[in-house]
Formats: sequence, structure tokens, C-alpha cells
Amino acid sequence: MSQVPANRSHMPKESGASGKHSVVADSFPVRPLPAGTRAMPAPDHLRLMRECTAAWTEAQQPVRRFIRSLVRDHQHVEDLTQEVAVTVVDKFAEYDRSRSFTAWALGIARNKVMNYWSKQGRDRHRFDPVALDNLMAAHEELHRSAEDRREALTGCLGKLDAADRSLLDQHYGESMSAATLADFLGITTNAIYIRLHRIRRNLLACIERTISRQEPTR
Amino acid sequence: MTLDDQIQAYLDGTATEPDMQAVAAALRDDPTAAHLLARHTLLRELLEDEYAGDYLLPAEPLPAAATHRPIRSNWLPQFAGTVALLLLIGLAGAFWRLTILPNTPPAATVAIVAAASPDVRWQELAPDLPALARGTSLPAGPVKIHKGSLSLLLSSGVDLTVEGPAEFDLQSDMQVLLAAGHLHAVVPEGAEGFVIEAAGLRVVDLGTEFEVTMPADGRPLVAVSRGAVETSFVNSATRMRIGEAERHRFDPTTRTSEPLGTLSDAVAMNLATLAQSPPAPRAKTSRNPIDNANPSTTTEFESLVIAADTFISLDHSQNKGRLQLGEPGDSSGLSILPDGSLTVEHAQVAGHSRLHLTGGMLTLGDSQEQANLCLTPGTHLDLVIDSGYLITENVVRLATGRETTVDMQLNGGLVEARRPFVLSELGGGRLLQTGGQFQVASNLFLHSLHAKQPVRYTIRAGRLTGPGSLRLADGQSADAVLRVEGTKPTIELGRLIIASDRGVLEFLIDTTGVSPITVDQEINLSNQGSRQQGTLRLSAAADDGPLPIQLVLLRYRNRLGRFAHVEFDGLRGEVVYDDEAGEVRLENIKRQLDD
Repeated sequence: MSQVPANRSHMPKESGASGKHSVVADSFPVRPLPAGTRAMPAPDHLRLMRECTAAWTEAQQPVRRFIRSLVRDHQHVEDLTQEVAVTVVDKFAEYDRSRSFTAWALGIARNKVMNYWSKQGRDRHRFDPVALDNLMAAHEELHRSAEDRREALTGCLGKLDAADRSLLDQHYGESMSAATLADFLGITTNAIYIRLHRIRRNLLACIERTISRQEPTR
Repeated sequence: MTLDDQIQAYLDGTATEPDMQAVAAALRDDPTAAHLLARHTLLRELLEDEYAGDYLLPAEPLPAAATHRPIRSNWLPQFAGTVALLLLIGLAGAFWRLTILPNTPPAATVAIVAAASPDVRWQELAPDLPALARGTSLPAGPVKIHKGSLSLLLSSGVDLTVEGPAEFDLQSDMQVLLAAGHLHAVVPEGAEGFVIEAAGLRVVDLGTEFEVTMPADGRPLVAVSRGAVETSFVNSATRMRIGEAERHRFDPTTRTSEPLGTLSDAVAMNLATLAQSPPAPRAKTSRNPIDNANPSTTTEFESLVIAADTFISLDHSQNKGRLQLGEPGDSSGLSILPDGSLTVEHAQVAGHSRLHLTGGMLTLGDSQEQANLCLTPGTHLDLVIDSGYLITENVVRLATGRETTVDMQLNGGLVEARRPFVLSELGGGRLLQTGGQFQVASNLFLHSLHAKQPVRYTIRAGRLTGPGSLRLADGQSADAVLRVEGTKPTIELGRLIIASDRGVLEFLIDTTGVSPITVDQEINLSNQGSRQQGTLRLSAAADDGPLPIQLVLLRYRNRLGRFAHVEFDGLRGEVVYDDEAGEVRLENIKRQLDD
């Protein structure tokens, strides 16, 4: 491959004001060199970078989700993921290749989160280390079926009844908070949360069913 | 409550302490609990992605950027020392895209999304593609949005703003094919030669800032605000140069063009003329009011852009379309005079802008769109209503973006909020009412998620009326304050909800007393199990006269909960909740001087 990205831009980490979870907030645009230009040769360094990049590509989604399971503020989730990316690059030489890279990156994420908790003060020691280990393992495993689950979700959304679908449309599509929805629908905020819980529970069950039907054919 | 409910409540941020302990214990002792939390986290992400709706079209894998030019450094990082690091992370970003586009060959990034209004939606859904967000990289290919505005930074350095509905093909970082809609390009030094093509018309930049609009009639419009462009039809040797401040309309069938006058002419034009030649020009310096050539005409326009340092008065009827006030870093203003009337489907404010009603009528949000005023950080809006009507037909959110502020003054006239009216969403908001009427049909929300100062509605005179509700301090809000001064105001609402502890009712009591807040239905000071919420702040006006001994502060039919805090300033008294009479009263009032 003769074209090697040479220029990159540092993007602000801010995700949109909509508060939506931005899956690409920390991806950096890469521009190829002008045609006919050759990249500076630095084979070892380049090989290492490629290896690290490919590995991080695989790991960053479970890492972000792991952090998201532990930190509510979306902006902080993005910041922490970014911090993990930087540490992964810094420490890549120390990575023991006999271990799973994702597990290694999740370990870094765990430390970042614990650090974050202690800085925040109030959430300190919210979950103990065993719980964090369990959660790391769960996210690593879940990531393998994430894309199948995405596909299954589309089908499962189609099976919802109109009222449930409409609630999701308002909550996710129109970014209406539970409190706002409660007001619009004239019921309590708590009732909205309970309805959303039930809908999500049903969606999860439907996704599990869909996935388990697919498995034998794989 | 099942573990599933507890985990979901934890993710919602509503878990009680016992729930939290149960979740923590389950995560520690039971690996399936960790799996359940992981699955719920993933599900939320997938739902958000699904509903982000803003998907990138998969782009026929078009040939990657045809023209790659030496790049200037305007969007390169300033941190040369961390180049290697950024390269790695950059690669990670690029590779990550591959993981979600398994069947698409690696496409070169042609542009990144520099900003997007929250209502931007890709027109067609492609569930495998990432949600649109600031920082999203776009490969070459077609893009359609059906509303909102989108700012793209092309890798050539060109800054491209798109207003939906629009359809265009990002052929490379130097060439864009416009099928419909409006593009505004700022071409920096070094990227000259950038091309926008519309209906066979090639507009080649010669170092400039220009706009191309492709209206439904198929006749592209080109307006140059700085520098010059060269235009030619495909397969034609005839070239025409369009200079600064010129506008032309082209007819692809006859291959002819007609000049539409210079920008200063245009500003002096009646808006009725603009209606036939959208969009309005971006006038840089003119302060000429628009002539009132034909006051009785009602016309339609697609876009009224009031750009930097332009102040326009409107004294006849205008309907529909989009109103954009100002540009970042600049100021602009629109005044609506007694005979003026303006209905806008979509309004947006940037820079430091002023919207002033001295009569007439302004209707916001005529369609299903929400009006998100003040989205861009640093934006400030003065919204002053001295007389006339402001009608909001759809959800209006003032100070929608972070670090934005809105100062609203209602001195006379009527604000009729037919749908939810939010002051303010993320930024700071203040509303001072000295007269007129604010009528709330649905909900008036006072809150802000990121304001550094309290969001305040101060009412000195005039009326604040229902049948809708006033909600203070929803969510993780900054302090939200409703302040009633003296006895001139009249406040009659359907419901009053203090949704969190950051909600404050302030009464400034003078020798005549203070107006009560009358709530037709319910006053709710209770939320999620808590029976006490918010603050009641009572101050004495700084004059020497005696205060009344007893006052009614709130009248209601039902009451839930009570104030968590009562604060006194310059007086003392006893707060009495009398549900039988349906009143919250302040009794045994005594002035208290500072000791």
C-alpha cells in the first residue's frame, strides 16, 4: 500500500448538542497524500502503528460501552474513551501479545474509570473490583455479537405495538426526556420509566431469541 | 423491583440507594448480572443509533477524491509534537469505519461534519452507517438531508454550509454536484478552483465566498459575497465572471443568465422581489431598511438571511420560509414594525442578534419543525417585544446550544406559546416582563442544563397566563427562578411544577404586598417520592413603608408536597399551607432590618 495517511486533524471531542451518543466523536479524519507523493519510510514504526490501530479499532466499541455502563455523562464517556485511546498508543509497546488486546484495553479503561470516580468524589467505589472484572468480561463477549444484535433490533422494533413504538419515537427520536413525556401524556414520570423498562426488556428478549435462532446456522 | 428494573433505573440515573446496592452486589456475585448490564448498555446505544436517523448514505463507492491538492494547514492540528499519536488515533478512526462498513472498500475522507443542527436528518436510512455527529468523516458520495443545516469542512479547506432540504454529490474535496437546495462555500486561499455544478452549470471559484442555490424551478442562482467566480455551462466555451456582490440566475435550457442586481440593490429591494429570487442576499454592510413599496402585498419566500451587520425593518407581510439572523461573530437584527407580519417555518440565530417587535406579528414554527434558536456557541439573542404578537406554533427552544444566551423582554403585546416553550435548553436565559401578556397553552419550561447563571423569569407587570403549565428546573438543571415583584403582575396558570430542588419561587414584597400565583389545578412540589422540593424566597422591597401583615402567595386546587427551603430577606413571617382554602400564605409578616 503506497498511500499512507499523512495528515490528520484533531477533532473537538464535543459531541452534538442533542446529547446523542456519538459513535465517531473520537475518530479522526484521514487524508491521503497527494497522488504521486510517497510517505516517509519508517517500516518498524509503521508496522507497529498499524498493528495498534487495527487492535484499537476492534477494542474501542467494547471499551466505550464498558465506560458507558459506569459513567452517566455522555461527554465524560467520550473523554474517558479518548484517554484510553491515548494510553493504548502510549503503552502499546508494553502490551503482552499473548493476551487479548481488548481485555488489555478494558483494563486500562477500568483504571481510568476508577480514577475518574475518585476525582468525582461522590461515586467513589460504586462497584468493587470483582464487579468491574465481571463487567469487562461481559462487554468483551457481547461485542462479538453486537452487529448481529443491531440487525436483530431492527426486526424487533418492527414487532412493537403502536403505543410502545410511539413512546420510543418520542423518547429517542425526538429526545424527549421522561419528565417531558410524562407531562405530554399526562402520566407520572415514574410511569414513563416503567413503560420504557418494559419495552427495553421485551426488545432484549426478542433480540436474544433472534440471535439464538441464528446461531445453529453459523 | 426486579434486577432488570434496578439495572435500568441505574442506567436512567434514577436508582435509589437500596437499588444501587442491589445492583452492586449482583454485579459482584453474579456474572449474569454483569451480562444484563452490558446488554442494556448496548441496547441503549443501538436504539440511539437507530433513532439518530441521521445516517450517511452508503455512497455508491464513487471514485475517491479526483483532485487532491496540497493541503493547507487550517484544519491540521496545532500539536505537531503529538503527530505520531494522532496518526494512530486517526487510523483508528478510519479503520473503525471499515468495521461498520464491511462490504465497502476503504473510502477516502472527503469532508468532516463541523457542525450540524439537531434537526438534521439524512433523508434515507442506511442502518449500517454511523449516526451523524460533529466529527463524522464523510467519504465521496451522494448526500441528502431533508431539513436542518449542516456545516462541512472539506479536506481541501473549503467550508461548505448546506441548508436542508438539499441533495448533492460530494464528488471530491474540490467538486460538488448540487441537485437541490442551497450551498454556501467559503473557499480559502490555496483551494481556488473549487467547483459547484448545478444543472450543467459549472461555478468555478476564483478565491471567494459564494452561494449556489438550486430551486425547484431548475434555474440555479449564483451569488458572490467576496471575490469572484467563473461560470460556464458544461460543453460550452462561453465563460462568465461574476464579481463581488453580484447575483445571477441561470437558465440551463436557454443557457442564458440574468443579473439580479448587486447586494446593496437587493437590500433596498422590496422583499416581494426577493420572494421571486430566493435566497436573499448576504448583505455585509448595508443598514438600509427595506422599502415599503407595497405594504399590502403578502408574499412567500424560501429564505430570509439577515447576515452580518445588517439590520432590517419589516413593515409588510411575509409568509413562510426560513429566517436566519446573523453569522457567528457578527451582529444583525430584524425589527417588525406595526404593519409588518412574518411567518417563518424555521428560525435560526447566530452571532449577536436582535429580534424586535414594535408591532405587527411574528409567527415561529409554522410547520412540524422545532425552532431551536441560538444553537451555535457564543450566540446571543435579544428578543424584545414592545407591542404586537409573537406566536409560536411549535416547540420553541431558546438558547438551545451551550454557551448561548437569550435575553427576552416583554414590555407589551402578546406572546402566545401554543406548544412547549423552553427557556433555555443548554444555554442561559432571562426573561423580564414589564407589561403585555405571556400566554402558555402547553408548557413553559424554565431550565438549563449548562447555564452558569440561574435561568430567570422576572415579572414586574403584565400577565402570565395558562391554561398551560409552568415547569421549573427539569432535569439536572441550573437554578430556575420565577420572580414576582409587587402587585402589578397577574399570574394565572394551569399547573405549577417545581421539578427539582433547583426550582425557586421568589416574591419581592412591597408596601402594597405581592401578587399571588394562582394555579387553576395543581401545584406540584413533589417529585419521585420526595415530598419537599425547591425554594421559596421572600424578600422585602427596600422602602420604609409598612408591609402587609398577611399575604396569599399561591392559590391552588390541589397541592403536592411543600417547599424544601424557605429563605427570608429583610422580613420575617410564617409560611402556612392551608389546603382547605387552597392557599399558601405568609402570615405575621414583619420587616426585619439587618442586625
